[in-house]
Amino acid sequence: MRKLLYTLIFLLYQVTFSQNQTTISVNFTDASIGEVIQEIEANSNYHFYFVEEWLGDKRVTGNYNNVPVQEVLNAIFKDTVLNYYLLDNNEIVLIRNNVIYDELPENFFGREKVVENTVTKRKKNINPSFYVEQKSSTRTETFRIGKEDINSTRERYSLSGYVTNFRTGRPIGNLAIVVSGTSIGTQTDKNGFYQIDLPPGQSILETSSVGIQDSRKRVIIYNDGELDFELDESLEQLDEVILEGKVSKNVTETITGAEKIDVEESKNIPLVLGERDVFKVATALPGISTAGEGSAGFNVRGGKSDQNLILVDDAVIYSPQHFFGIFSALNPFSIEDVTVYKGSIPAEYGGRLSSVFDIKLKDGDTKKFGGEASIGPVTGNVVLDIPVIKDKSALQIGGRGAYANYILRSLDDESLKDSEASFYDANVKYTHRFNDNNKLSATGYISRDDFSITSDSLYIYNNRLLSLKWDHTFNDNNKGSLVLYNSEYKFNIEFDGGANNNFDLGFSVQETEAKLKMNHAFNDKYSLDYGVSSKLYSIEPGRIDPFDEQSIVTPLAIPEERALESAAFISGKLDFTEKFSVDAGFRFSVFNALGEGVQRIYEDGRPRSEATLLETQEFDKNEVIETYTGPEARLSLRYLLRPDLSIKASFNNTFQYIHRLSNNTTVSPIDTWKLSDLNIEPQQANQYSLGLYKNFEDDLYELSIEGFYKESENILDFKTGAQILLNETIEAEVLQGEGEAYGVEFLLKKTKGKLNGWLGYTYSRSFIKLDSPFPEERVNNGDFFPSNFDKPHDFSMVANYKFTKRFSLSANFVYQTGRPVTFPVGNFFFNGSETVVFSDRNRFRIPDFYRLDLGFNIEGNHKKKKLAHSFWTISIYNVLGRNNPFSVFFVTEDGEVKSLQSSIFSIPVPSITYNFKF
Amino acid sequence: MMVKKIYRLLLLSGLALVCNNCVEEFDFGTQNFEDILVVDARITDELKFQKVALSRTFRLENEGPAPEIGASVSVTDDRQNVFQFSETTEGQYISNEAFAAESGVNYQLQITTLNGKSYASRAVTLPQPTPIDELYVERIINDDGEEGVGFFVDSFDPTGNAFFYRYEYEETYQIIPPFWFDLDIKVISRDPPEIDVVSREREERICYKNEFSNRIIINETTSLSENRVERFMVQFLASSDLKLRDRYSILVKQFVQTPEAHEFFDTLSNFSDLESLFSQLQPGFIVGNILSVENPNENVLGFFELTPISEKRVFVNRRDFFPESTKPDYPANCSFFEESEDEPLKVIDAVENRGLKLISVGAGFIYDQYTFTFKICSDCNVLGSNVRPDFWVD
Repeated sequence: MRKLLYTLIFLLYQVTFSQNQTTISVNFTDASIGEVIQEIEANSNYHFYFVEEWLGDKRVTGNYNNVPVQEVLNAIFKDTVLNYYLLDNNEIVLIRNNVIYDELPENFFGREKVVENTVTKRKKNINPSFYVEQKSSTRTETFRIGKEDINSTRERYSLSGYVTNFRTGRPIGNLAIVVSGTSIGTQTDKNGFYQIDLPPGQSILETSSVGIQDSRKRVIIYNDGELDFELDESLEQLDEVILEGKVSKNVTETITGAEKIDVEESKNIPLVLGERDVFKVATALPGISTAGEGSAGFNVRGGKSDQNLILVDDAVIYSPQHFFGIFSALNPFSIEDVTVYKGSIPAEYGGRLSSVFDIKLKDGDTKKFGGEASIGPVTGNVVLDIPVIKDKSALQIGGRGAYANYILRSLDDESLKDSEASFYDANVKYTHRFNDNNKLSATGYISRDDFSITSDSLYIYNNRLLSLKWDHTFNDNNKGSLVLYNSEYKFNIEFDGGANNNFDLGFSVQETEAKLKMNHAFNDKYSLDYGVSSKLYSIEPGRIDPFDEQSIVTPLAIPEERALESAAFISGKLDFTEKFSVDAGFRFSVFNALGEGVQRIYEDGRPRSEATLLETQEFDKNEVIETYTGPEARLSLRYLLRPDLSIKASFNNTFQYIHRLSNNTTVSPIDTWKLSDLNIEPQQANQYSLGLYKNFEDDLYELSIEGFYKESENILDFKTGAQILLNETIEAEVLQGEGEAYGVEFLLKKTKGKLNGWLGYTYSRSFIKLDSPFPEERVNNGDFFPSNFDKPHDFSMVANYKFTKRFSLSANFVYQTGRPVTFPVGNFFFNGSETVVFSDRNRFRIPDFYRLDLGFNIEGNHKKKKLAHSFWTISIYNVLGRNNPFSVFFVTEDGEVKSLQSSIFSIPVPSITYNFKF
Repeated sequence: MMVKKIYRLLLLSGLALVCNNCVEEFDFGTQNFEDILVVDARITDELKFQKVALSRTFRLENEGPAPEIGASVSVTDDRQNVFQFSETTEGQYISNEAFAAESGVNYQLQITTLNGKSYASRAVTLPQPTPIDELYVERIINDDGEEGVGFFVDSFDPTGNAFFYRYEYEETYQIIPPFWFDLDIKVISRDPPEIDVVSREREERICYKNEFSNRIIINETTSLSENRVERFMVQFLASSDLKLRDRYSILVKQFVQTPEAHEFFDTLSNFSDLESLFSQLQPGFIVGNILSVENPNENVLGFFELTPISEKRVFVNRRDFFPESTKPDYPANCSFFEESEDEPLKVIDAVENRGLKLISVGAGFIYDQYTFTFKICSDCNVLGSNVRPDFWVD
């Protein structure tokens, strides 16, 4: 029908308008427009063409005698979006929004033709709203706004309305609304109200905001009008809104090296054993890598894996992964979004050198009960939204558990049949909105991994955190938030071999922080963030106890370590001109190592060892052992060369006062953490980065090239032969050296369309230098050598192809240079015994790593009234069956040294997961 | 040790969990081999012909080290003395004259290999000589819950200069086979077969076996208020240990070390008593105090050490400590075989081809019956040496 109409309309331009003098008489009372039209048709020879639905339910009343039909029509169509057009043969075409122009706008056919064809001159400026339906590849909902006024000469129409949360009905404030491809944009106020001036015709409105999924709406504006819309925060969207990455943020954002991970993206990345994982998405981005599969932790821009600040609702989480890094320890359904800062770190964050992973969990739905669940081969997962007080408070509860035990049972290996492995995590978030100015959120999280491989050992590790946040708006210009959290990580090994050497070994780290962050907005262009924070650490570095009464294990406990890390920060963003923007921040941190404790004092200028130990000093409870201070500057500059091309530069310096003791390349769950003290100085890094950012074809493609150079000091490493666990004099085993890393990162993203995804390539190097006047403290002759995670080439590709609304295919390919290792290079005989001789540190590399994964998603049908929406994910991990060595190690067996390599998934691993949402 | 066990357990298990056959052996030995000079040089404060051993590293799959032959080796001191060494056996260099390291003198080792490369040690001095005050034995239960005897050392340095100690020991124990017999079969002629029963010609009842410590035993007194070694256990023998079957003797040598030497041996010991290298141990090249003269980047393994030595010996009889317990089983299954005097061919076959030993002669009706057992069960020379050491005291 509509098509027919358009055809009609286009034919119309040949028809010249001639005033029809026929008059009509009609009477109607509280009639619908349809009824009036029938009446007119019955009483005259006019014939109407229209679409029934357009007419609406407006009731009209009128009494007309011998008036031109136009008069009646003008009256009944008043306050509707309908227009009409009279054809010669007494036919009337009704049109929605549009005016049918009986002449073309100037220059419609190019200049010459139009001049010749101009018959009548009406107004000089005609701004008709022409809209030709496009075969759009994205499904964007179209709204027609206003009734076209043929006499309008306005170049802008005003569109206003309210934006509300589809689930909760609450207004969405601070939502950015921009018109794609233009510089027009606005923001909603705290009531969700916006007002924007649009050029006549079609505009694509794009919205983005934290916590709200980005949306895109096509608006065809004919006149001033209103458009309210509801946006969702949900995981699964039906047709209305197409998800999309941050629109042109790539180019316009001031800071460098920030990546927002769309949680939705993780849905489209092929899974290992059916588990969605935002960290997997993160590692597919340039500059972020892991040491290999099955290794926990991330290396960001050549930094060690302990240099990442991972926050869950503002609380630090020490071990965000289960099962040797194979699964994320965070429930994918509960995550609202993840922002990774690898370049410029906002001044409010500190305490880690390389990056910040800021993970926000979803608020519960205050309107209606709902949930999501998935069943995969390894885990089951459920998230529930429970409204507590309608529109005010809600609870979101998530739980996930692994039932991996059956996998172990099914293994052929006798020794593993009795093994056990399980993990679970649970999170709960309660939000209470007292009023528009006060909101309280509380998040609780626990996770636990249990392994029991042989019948005699049980290995457990736990995370536990609790965070409270109070958001308060003082007035239009001032708001603030107060966060209080406590986080704990611990591990335990219980060995019960039946003999008398059973033991229980444990480690724990705990921190409690209070943080106040304030925001003062001077005007739209300039706002200031400032605040203070302070955290108390307490670490139990290790203890071993007899497990039972028969055990003769000697108990040993390394004394507790405590420290206070406090900071004040201020940062602001200032747009000097439209093109030049500066984001500057300053943070000052103070670290106090606190008693009670014992510190060993060593001779100055001699290597720390038993031989140079001068004395041990005792400190009382809360006595300050040592104080370190760190002035930290964060500066980013952006210059827009063109609306879609920008150049950015940044400088960032950071301090870190807590160190993970690990000489393994990967994070091992039994790594312990150590605070800076008299002997171990804080780590420090300076990072410089420079990048070019370009968007093509209406932000369809985003390209960025970013280079960085990072120098660091006091990076922790270990003397050759160092033993770390349960070592009372760890400072004598530690070396602190210089680090150097540099690299270039390329990222090309296609953000929408049937085929979307990204290609990333990083060339980077990471080195460390451990030099000293003393040979025993020197590694590799005191020269720079590649760090454990120096992987020069890192290529990754993530691609999704949507066949239909319901079927999509995704692929993920990774290639990395093998990481450096220290190999044994022979044996030698010394003083009567044979020993393996190792090469210089990190002289060799394990073979290159590559892997291809494929996934296929099948969405359930999209009937709106369906009880639950569901989708199936079928994925194959490591399709090529590449035997990627995860580590290489050596075992002395019967006096012979054997070299072994291990890989985690050496064969393609298929899995299928069922997800549903209700 | 226990900690290492945990690591191995955990890490292996973690891997095993997710994949069954994912750990595989790979051939690696040949490609990355580095041929490095290994210097094992220890000059003591005893007046003797001092020894320096030079070898090369060897491939993981090879049997043993290749000696470094034909090198010229000398030790110089800061009083312009030069002690030349000569190669006596391959890779073993013995000083041409006897000398002893002296306190307060700097010594340096110099090596020029056959291919013309020169190496030198850093200058080293002799640490404070400290004697073993006492070496004693006690019946104990060790940390693993095993019952046995521990050999303890006490030592004290009144000057307060000796902090680091290293120990070696030399064990000697008797081998007494369970079925010794004073007679033997003597084959007079094979064809025609003719035998005789004679007295055993050599000592075959009591032999002695020597073993050297093959692990690094170090101790330090820095964490103590006095430089006093007290009850330091150098060796432990479980009551079931074969060495304790009969009489046992241990000679304990105490070496005092410099901090540098201690650090080197400490690192080395971490590497060599590894059950698995898949652990939290930081691998890397172990730097000693020998440097290449021409190429500072060349890796050289080993250490040149000056060390005072003190030694003490102690003897132990099993019955003194474990009178109630039975002796550990002899390390062989002793079966018996019988042959008759009238079948001399079979008797000859038993002693010559089957290597059996006569352990009894039984009088039969007409012919004697000979009982045989394996040689190891009757002749101590199979497991030890019948030469009684000079120091041995019964």
